Amino acid sequence: MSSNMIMLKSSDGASFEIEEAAARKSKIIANMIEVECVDEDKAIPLQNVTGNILALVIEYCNKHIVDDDDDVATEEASEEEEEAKKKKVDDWEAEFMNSMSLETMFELLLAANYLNIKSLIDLVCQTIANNIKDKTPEEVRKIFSIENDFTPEEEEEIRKENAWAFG
Amino acid sequence: MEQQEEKKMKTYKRRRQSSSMSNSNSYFPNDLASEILLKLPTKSIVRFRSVSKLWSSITTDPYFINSFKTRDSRKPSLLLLFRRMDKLFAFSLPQHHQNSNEWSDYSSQPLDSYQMKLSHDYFCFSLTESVGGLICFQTLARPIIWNPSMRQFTLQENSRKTDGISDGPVSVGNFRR
Repeated sequence: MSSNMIMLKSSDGASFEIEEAAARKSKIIANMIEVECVDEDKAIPLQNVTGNILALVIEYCNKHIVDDDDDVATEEASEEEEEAKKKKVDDWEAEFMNSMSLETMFELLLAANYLNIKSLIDLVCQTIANNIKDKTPEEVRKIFSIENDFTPEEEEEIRKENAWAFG
Repeated sequence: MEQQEEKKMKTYKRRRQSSSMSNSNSYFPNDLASEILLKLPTKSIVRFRSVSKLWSSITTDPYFINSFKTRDSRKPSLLLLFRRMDKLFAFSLPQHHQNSNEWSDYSSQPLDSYQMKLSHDYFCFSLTESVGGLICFQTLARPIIWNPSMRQFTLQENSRKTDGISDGPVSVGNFRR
């Protein structure tokens, strides 16, 4: 396994050094590396990601590069070992997500989407979903800054149709 | 905790002098909204249909419903029915992979239960096996399709499509008393 380092540069000018294997968690960066448009001593500019969010993305990638490498060798690993490992990752992810506000989650989600990191998209979506699942439509509108575009009659109608879901 | 988060969001917004997330982040893609919605329980999805026209159309879109079905077919549930007089009691218990001993999961997916009043029509019925999470009641006159997760009955007079979301494979045990 090569431990080539590459540089990423956030929209606000912060530079981050990251192992190539970790950066490859992003399909976009992996593609750039494939087509060799990554200059060794030039940072990859990421115009849509701020420094504080990029730091979180890198923390996530660094954590998961090790786990993915292990996946290859898990054939021989016992079931218990595998489960213990999975639990460790789950715990880490729970802690990782627990430390951030909803606003940060949305920014992280947009960054993961832009960088195309499927597992991070899934993780953040699941966390946001857990966060909103018991909320009312009004609260959800506030969180997502969605304007209610139903007329009062339409809204009453759709609420009536789905009355059981409000219980 | 939630209040704190809301407060944080408010100050954040003030700082950005923007009253909406879509402004501050320029644009929130529909497919991400759809991804989030796909991870919600059926009940929340149905409730959030009244958030906006967009969310209503996302969650009633056939593509969304199909993805939801695929997701849930990996998490089969056992449906128990009890019938007493004109009331039908339904309990849905999440089932897990046979080789999994993650009992802790049960607490995060609580048992869903509800009761319905059956109209006179449905009194004399027999159930068929579930097909893609839907159950067919054979009543005297005509078949009725029941979607347990949507708590919805559809009379099959013509072959219109239902717009319901259904859970994955369901095994039916029918207990009458």
